[in-house]
Amino acid sequence: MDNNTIDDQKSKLLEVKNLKTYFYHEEGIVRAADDISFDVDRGETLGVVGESGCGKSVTSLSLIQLVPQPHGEIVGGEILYYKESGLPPVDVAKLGSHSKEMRNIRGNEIAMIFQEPMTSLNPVYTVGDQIVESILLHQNVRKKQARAKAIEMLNLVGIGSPEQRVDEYPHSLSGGMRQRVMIAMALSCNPNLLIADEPTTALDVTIESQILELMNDLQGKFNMSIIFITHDLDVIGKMADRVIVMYTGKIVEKAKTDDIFYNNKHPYTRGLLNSIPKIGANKRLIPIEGSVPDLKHLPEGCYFVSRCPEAMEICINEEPPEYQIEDSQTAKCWLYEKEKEELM
Amino acid sequence: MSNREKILEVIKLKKYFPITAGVFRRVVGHVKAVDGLNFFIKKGETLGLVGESGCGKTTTGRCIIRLVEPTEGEIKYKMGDQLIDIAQADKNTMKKIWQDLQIIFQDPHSSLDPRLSVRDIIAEPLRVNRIGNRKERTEKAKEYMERVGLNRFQINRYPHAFSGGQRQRIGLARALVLNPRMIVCDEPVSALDVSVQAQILNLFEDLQDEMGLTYLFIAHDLSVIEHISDRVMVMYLGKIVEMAAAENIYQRPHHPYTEALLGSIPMGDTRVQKRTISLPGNVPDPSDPPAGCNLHPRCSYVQDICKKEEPQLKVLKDDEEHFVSCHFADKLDLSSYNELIETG
Repeated sequence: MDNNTIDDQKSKLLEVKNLKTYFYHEEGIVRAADDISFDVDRGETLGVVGESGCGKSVTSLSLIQLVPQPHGEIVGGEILYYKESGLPPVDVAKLGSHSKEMRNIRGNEIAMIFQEPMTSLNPVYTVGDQIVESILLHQNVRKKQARAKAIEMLNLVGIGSPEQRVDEYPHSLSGGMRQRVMIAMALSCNPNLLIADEPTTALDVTIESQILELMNDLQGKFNMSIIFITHDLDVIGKMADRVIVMYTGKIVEKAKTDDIFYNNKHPYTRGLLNSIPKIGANKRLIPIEGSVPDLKHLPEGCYFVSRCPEAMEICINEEPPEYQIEDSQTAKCWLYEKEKEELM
Repeated sequence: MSNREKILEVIKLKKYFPITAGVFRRVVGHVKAVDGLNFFIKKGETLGLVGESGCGKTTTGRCIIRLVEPTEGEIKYKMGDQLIDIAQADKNTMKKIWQDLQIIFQDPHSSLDPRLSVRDIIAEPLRVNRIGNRKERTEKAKEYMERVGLNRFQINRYPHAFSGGQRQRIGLARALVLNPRMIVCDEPVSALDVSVQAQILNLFEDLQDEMGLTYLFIAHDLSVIEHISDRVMVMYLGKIVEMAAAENIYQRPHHPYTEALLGSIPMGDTRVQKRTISLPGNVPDPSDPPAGCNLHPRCSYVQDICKKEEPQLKVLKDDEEHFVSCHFADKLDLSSYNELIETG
């Protein structure tokens, strides 16, 4: 991606180029992430938004080589991880899932938190043991120090009386508390990048708001980048600096968060925004007609064509390229071919 | 709306689930899932029921159609000229009531029998009530499929062949086929993607206009509730904390809990500055609710009286349709929240 703005103050942390993660099934190939390119700067939050099945989770799992086996595979592209600016990057896509290098990066430099705080903690170990495990694995410290660090982390994520909580089992914690523990675990090794896959979807609004505040807070303290994956555009607006919108394994629009809401270019982004009920608006909703096509039998041309209110002749037969609209904004839609011609 | 007749009136409804322990299944306590509800629903309106998980909203919905036996209280349902107490009704009366009062469930994947074809699913209520012969029932099923936006040629397919949104439409067709007057909708859109959610919400509105339906609409999503409801009821820990016309709840909340709920909604819009009000802590254990007002350990306006005396649901001085259960309902000025919504 050489068409991104090069800002002197910011440096890239992660650069994904043409990532392809496919799943091979008997009935066909599912192109869960198909030609995905984006980058993440140091200290920024990148939002990834889309409906279920659009490939947002697969993309994030690819970044830490956790694509579900045996069907899934990264078949192409590069994931360049710049550990320190100035040094040459590591291509995560080329590393083996179980290789030493990968294990050093995963959980240590790139950490992840998942949607289900109920199932992502091990019920037979205390929360302390689980945090200590990741500290011992990645840092050269003794058990006692690791435990002290675990307590410190629990305190940092706002869990009251951490000295006692550290010896409790996950079942005695509420959903919000468990998500706090997950965050404590993820941050215990000072990661450069935190991938948060729908971290608040399973939580109630009042708890969600607490967790989002906490994540914003900790981002400043740890100076890390966040990839925030969600289906909820309202959460994106609150968290992200830049947003990528995904649909059927492709990125359809990339823009600054403000542009997503006020200057969006792709009909799908617009459709998503019109579908959300807004408090105080009292309008009839404008849904996107139809439903997401079967990923095993995608149509030729633009995948959104059957649901698009602005579909044209060309959309049926040919897949649109990604158009650069402004420095920081791209849209994968034929509508901008016309605009380009008019400009010329 | 205010002069319409009541179709349902609930008086002091309680549902306690026993907690048992030991070899002899001794009852050691009760989970007070629903604890003394008083409310009514008027003909042709949508009453939204909102609250966090575990507040008793689903139990309330299920008590109303007797899917769970209420522990105490009356549920007066107006059928024709008769006023029937659902809580006391015998089996035959219930069978008649169920032709009039239907329910739709949250999870479209588990609420349809995978071994029945769409025809059998939709026609089952007719068969159970011995209405029409087989051919007439099939015709009826086809008619209702079209009514909810499904293709009548898909009648012989099985649920697995349909997407989440389509399955929710099947559930809706099944509920409508007996031509009911009221439907309890238990989180009918929360498992759906936003674009599909908007389709289903519009369908609910259209059917209400066409058939004059009354809805009790249960959801945890505050924007969805605002969009669909005429009046809104907010529950916390088995009790109603506030009940009023939708715009009054959202523009002029009088209960600190309602204020906190509304303040927790993430607002996607990047150009609207919204004050976040968060509610500290977690929902207390419903088997051991705090003394006095349920909310007092989390409330920022707490006074001594709140810790001792339980507030009753009272009507506001200046609005006869606005009920609040707070000692300071008339005194608290929560209007700072008001400004936020209006700018949005």
